[in-house]
Amino acid sequence: MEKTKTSMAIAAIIFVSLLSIIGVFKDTISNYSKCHIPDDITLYESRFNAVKTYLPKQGVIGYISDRKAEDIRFAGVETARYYLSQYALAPVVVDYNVNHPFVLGNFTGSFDRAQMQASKGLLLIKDFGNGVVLFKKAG
Amino acid sequence: MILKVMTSFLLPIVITFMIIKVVWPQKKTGFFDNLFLISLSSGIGLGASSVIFFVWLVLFSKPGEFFAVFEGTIFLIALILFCKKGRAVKERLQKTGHFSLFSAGFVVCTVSALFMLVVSSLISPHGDWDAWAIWNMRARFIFRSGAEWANAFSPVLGWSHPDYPLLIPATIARCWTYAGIDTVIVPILVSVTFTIATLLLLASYFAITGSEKKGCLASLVLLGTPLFLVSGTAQYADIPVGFFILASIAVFYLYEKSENKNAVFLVIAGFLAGLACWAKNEGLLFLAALIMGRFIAVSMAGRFRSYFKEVAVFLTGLAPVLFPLAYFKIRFAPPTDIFEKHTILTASEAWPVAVEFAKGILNFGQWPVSATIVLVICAAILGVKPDHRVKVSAQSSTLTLVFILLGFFIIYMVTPYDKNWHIVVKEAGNAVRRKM
Repeated sequence: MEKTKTSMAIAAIIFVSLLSIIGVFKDTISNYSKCHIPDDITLYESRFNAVKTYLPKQGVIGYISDRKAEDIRFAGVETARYYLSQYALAPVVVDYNVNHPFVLGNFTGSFDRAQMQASKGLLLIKDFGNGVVLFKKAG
Repeated sequence: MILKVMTSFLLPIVITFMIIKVVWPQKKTGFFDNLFLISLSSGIGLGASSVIFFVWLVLFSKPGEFFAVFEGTIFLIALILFCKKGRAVKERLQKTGHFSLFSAGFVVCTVSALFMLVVSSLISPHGDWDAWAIWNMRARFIFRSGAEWANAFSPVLGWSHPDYPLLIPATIARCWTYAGIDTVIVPILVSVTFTIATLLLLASYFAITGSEKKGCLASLVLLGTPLFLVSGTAQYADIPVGFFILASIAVFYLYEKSENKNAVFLVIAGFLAGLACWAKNEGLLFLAALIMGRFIAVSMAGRFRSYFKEVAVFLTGLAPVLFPLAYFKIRFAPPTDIFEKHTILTASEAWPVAVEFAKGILNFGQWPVSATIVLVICAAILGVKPDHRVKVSAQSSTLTLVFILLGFFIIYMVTPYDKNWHIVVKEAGNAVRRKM
């Protein structure tokens, strides 16, 4: 009796574990084709390849976007865009404000050059395309 | 590049294996005995090399060629010790265990886990949110900044938790330094190694102290926990900190089981507990919980006097990691935000948090059915009868687990952030990434 109870308990553990493993295994197999596709972070990072050559090797630069993160400590789409910019540009420190000699623009669409200059005091250095722009602080 | 990466990655593991093989009190050479030591060496090797790398950066600003010479010298010393002492202990080796059907099943499970980890890592080579936003980004700062590596802890980067310990970033930056390039292969290797090492450590521990069946069953349960594999590919520090907690507790059990209560086990357990602290702030909670849990269990067993002697030996192992960690916390890390701006919940606010917390425990691990309930039922059927020699360790590790959970609950109580943020942050992070 004792032996049967033990065997049943072990069989239950094995069954539940295998059920779970098979689920994960099936997910892995179905996603296997994605192995050969560049992942979204690598693609996002590649947007910043050109701007890197214009930035100082160290130090702090500013950051501006057409989307505003409510609080950069918390997960959100704009927060992720800002964090990924920092991830791509490290060891340059990217500060989420425009009070720096160099300011990185990270836009989702087009931006108004005149408005940037008038409201933020930012002068365009170069537009790298794909929404990546480098500004310098006027004055 | 691959050769350099592999050499830099394997070097500390091989060094540690040779040292552990020499100092390890039990001289057995069974399949699972060696597996246990290899798993242990993987974690200790990577952890110790990250501590040494950090100390080197503090002392000499950047690694340079002398760092490689230094590590090469340690390798040679370990090799000489291994060859010399290894020969002496060869005569009294006990050959135990054999490669059975269970071992074969276990190997199949491990290879499957490895396959799943590698495929998932190739799909998402930068890891999930915390990996690229915290751990790998910090590693990039340390590797790319040269002598200015302390910029990684700039107040501007407060959102990236610069107070988090450096095991993962320093391990990655060290390998990148040898490779000369910040390839994603390194964080993947670190993550996969800790995940597989945890699995092997658990299985081999139960195999050498109980039976191969127990070892295979334990590894199957862990492997069947989807959260475990997901965290493994996410490149978070949760798996490494879990590895060190498991290893430290396992070595404590071996200490209790050893006939002459060999102090070497305590030193190694202390070092492992220190590495848990060096991996993640939660490791400090584990350390406090372990010390309290052990104090209660040892006192209950009437071994109160021996407790302080044990603690002194344990601290010998802990100190080489705790001092660099203390220096990092004092010199570079800002205060931990949760404690700096803490709040305290009222009873009515606390109740929903307690309910969520209980749900979290019940649904732990993302199993298809509640693993907690299944395991509790099975434990009730099978009964929990610890070996009398390890009764103290069984009690102290249970108490440690309870204190850790209590600590987490208190953090939910005092956090200045929205409680939902703590609960949903991982899911939110992944959802956001998909939307970008």
